[in-house]
Amino acid sequence: MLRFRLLLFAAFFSSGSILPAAQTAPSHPQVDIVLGFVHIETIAVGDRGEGHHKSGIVVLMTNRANKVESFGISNEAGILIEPLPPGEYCYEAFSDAGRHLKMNRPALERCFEVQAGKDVEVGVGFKE
Amino acid sequence: MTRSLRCVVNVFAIVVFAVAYLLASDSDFGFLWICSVRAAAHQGEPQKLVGSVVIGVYPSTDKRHESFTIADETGYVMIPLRPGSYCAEAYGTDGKKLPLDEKTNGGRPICFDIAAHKVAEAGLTISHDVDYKPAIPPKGID
Repeated sequence: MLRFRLLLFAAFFSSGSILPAAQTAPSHPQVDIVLGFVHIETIAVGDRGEGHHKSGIVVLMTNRANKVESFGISNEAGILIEPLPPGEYCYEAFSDAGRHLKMNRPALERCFEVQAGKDVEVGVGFKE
Repeated sequence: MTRSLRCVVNVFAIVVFAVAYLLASDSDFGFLWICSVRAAAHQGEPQKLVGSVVIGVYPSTDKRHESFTIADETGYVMIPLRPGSYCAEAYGTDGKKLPLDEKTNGGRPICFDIAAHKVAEAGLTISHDVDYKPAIPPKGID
């Protein structure tokens, strides 16, 4: 019985010693990634259908398969370039204060595909 | 009595739906203002900003949920993020990981906290021996 307890004791401490110490930012191996690039234009669309580029629009792209979210904000020209792993994504847009913008297309028409090493152009239109 | 009870239930339902709609439609996020620099080769030399570096950001507890953005040609980028703790690392536009400077944070990814409606600042220091040449056009309208 005592031998069994000693065995448990030894097992407990040896397993503890091989566990990695908690780190905020563990070193990751040099794993490369595969990306495509999305060229996004954020466009405010008026009542008559006329549009103009709008800066400072937060665009959220969600991967349809794994639900990973990628945020970006358009620059002063209303342009955003977003690197994304290959997959199908859908977008929505917010003001920089977090207000959801009313999009000018239904949700099903706000999806696009990213292919490895390819560029895709996406217009993110929302109602002014 | 029944009518007033029905009225109260209706009002309650409207309030619940309104709150649910607002919660679903608006989004709380903060911002990360991050720059990418190359470490100095020798002590006393200045670091240099490196443009068009792909920055991978992931929740500090879940590397699988990494998202990406690209710094502008000056080396800076603003990234909206949901509140939480994150870490960041650097890649080239070809997807190859750029080694971080060993003298800065031991070459490990940098970590930071994002609070709603606040801007956090961070810098990614790439190893001095990296000769990075991005292959992507600058942002802008032709």
